[in-house]
Amino acid sequence: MDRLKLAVISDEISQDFEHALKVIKELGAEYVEIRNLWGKNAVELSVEEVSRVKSLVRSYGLKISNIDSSAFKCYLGDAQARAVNLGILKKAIELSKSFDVGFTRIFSFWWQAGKYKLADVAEALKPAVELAEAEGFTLAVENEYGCYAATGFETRQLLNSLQSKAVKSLWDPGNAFFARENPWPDGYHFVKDDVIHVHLKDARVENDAFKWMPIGKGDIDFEGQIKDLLAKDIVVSLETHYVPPSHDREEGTKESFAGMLEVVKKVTKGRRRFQQ
Amino acid sequence: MKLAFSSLAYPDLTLTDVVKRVSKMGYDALELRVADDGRHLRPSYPIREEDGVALRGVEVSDLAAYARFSDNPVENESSMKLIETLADIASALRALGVRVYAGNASDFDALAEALNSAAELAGSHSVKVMVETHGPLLDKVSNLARLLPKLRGVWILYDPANVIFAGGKHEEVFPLIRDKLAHVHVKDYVLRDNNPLYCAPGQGVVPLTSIMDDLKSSGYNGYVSVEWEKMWHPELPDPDSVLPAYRVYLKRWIG
Repeated sequence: MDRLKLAVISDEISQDFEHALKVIKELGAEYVEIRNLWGKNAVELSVEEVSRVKSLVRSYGLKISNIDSSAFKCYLGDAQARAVNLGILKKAIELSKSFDVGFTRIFSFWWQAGKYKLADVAEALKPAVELAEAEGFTLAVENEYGCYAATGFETRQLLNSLQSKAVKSLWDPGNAFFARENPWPDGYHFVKDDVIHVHLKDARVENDAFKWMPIGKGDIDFEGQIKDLLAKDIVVSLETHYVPPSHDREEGTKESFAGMLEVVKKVTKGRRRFQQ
Repeated sequence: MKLAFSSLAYPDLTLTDVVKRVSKMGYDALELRVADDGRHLRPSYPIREEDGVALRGVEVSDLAAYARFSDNPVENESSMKLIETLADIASALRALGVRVYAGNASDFDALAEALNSAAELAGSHSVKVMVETHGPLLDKVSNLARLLPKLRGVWILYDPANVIFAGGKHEEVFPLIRDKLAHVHVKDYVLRDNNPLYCAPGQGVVPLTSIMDDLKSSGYNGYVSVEWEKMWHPELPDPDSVLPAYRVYLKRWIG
C-alpha cells in the first residue's frame, strides 16, 4: 500500500448528510463513516432513510466505510442497559450488512474506579461476541478514554480475554492519548495485529487540560502512526473533534484533513521528522 | 403534541420519585432540570449509574439546563463547554434538545454567532439547542425580531407567560417564531404586587386557549411542558394537585 484509504465521519461536518458528502468528496476522501445524521443515530434510520443514504452515497461516488452506534457505552452492572445495548448492536449489525460492511464498533462499558476488571468486561460482552460469531460478523472494540478499554494496552488485554476471531480493534490514537498512553508507537504496538479500522484526531495538553487539535498540530506522532497504517489495507477515518476558534466544525474538519494529508505527504516521501 | 412537566415542580423529591409521577399524573414525558446543584441531574457525562436507572423507561423531552450565551466571549466559551456535556447527556437520554438562555447583549451578531455555534456543536450529537423566550433579552418581542433572522439551526423554546409578563403579546410573537418552535412552556399567572403569582390554567392572564389553538393549527407536534416553578416559589400549591389540573385543561388540544 502506498496510500491511505481515507474516510471522514459525516457528522463532524454536518447533520445535513448530503452537504457532508459534498464536502467529503471535495476533500478527496473515498469513504464516509456514518454515525449521526439528520438528527439521529444511524441505527434509528427508517427503511426509507437507509435507501436515501445509499442513493446519496452512490450519487457522490463515495463508499460507506462503516457505521457507528454507541453499543455498550453503558454501565457494566446494569443488566437492563446491557440488554438494551445488545439490541442496539443487533440493529447496527443488520444495518451494516445492508451497507455491505462486515464490522461495527462497540465500546467496553463506562469505567468505574475499582469496580470491575477487564475480565469482567469480557464476560459481560460475551452475548455480543456470540451474536457476532453467529452472524459471521466482526466487532471492533473502540478504545475510549471513558471506558474500560481506553488504551492500546487495555484493548489488548480485553481481546486476549475474549479469545474470539470475531472481535478486533478500532484503534483511536487520540482516545489513547486522552487516557495517558503514548499512542504511537507504544499503544499501537499492542493492537497492531488486530486493527481493522482507525479514527484519527490529534490532541495535546494545554492549560491543564486535554485538548483536541487538528492532525499534525498536537503531540501524537502521526508520521509514525500513518507510516504503519500505510502497510495495512484498511480504511482510516478522520474524526475531527477539533473545533477552531470560529466554532465552525466544517472548517475544523477541512483544517484537520489538510493536516492529515500533509503528514501523509511527508511519510510517503520518506521524510520522517521523528526517530521511531 | 405531547405533554410534559418540568422537574422544577418537585425540588424536594428524588429523581426516582419525580420520574414515577410522569405516568402517575398521565403525562408523556419529563422536562429534566440539569444544574450544578444536582436537582435533578448534574451536568456531567456519563450520568451516574443510579440516575440512569432512575430515568429508565421515562421519556425525557429536553434538558432544562443553564447554559447562557451573550456577546461576552468568556461567558460563551464556558457555555460552549457546558453544551458539549449537555449534548452528550441529551443524546444518551434521547432527549430532543437542550434549553439555553440569551443573556445581556448589545451586539446581536456576536450573540447569534455564539448561539449558532452551540447549535452546530449540539447538532453533531443529534441534539437541538433551544433558546428560551426568557429575560433579560428574549422575553421582548423587539429583541426576538432582531435576533431571529441571524440564527441558523437554533430552535425556540416558547414560554408565553414570560413574554406576556414582559409586556408582549402572544399574537405578536407567535408569527415570528412558529417555524422555529421546538418546545413550549405552559403556565398561567395573575399579577400580585407587580409580580407573577402562578395559578391554575385558565385562571390567569395568559391566553392559553389562543396559544394552544395556534399551536394546533400551525401543526406543532412537539412537547407542551407545564413549568410549575415550585423550586423558585415554595409557597405555590402542591404540584401533585396542580399538574393533574393542567393535564385535564390541556387535554382538549393534546388528546
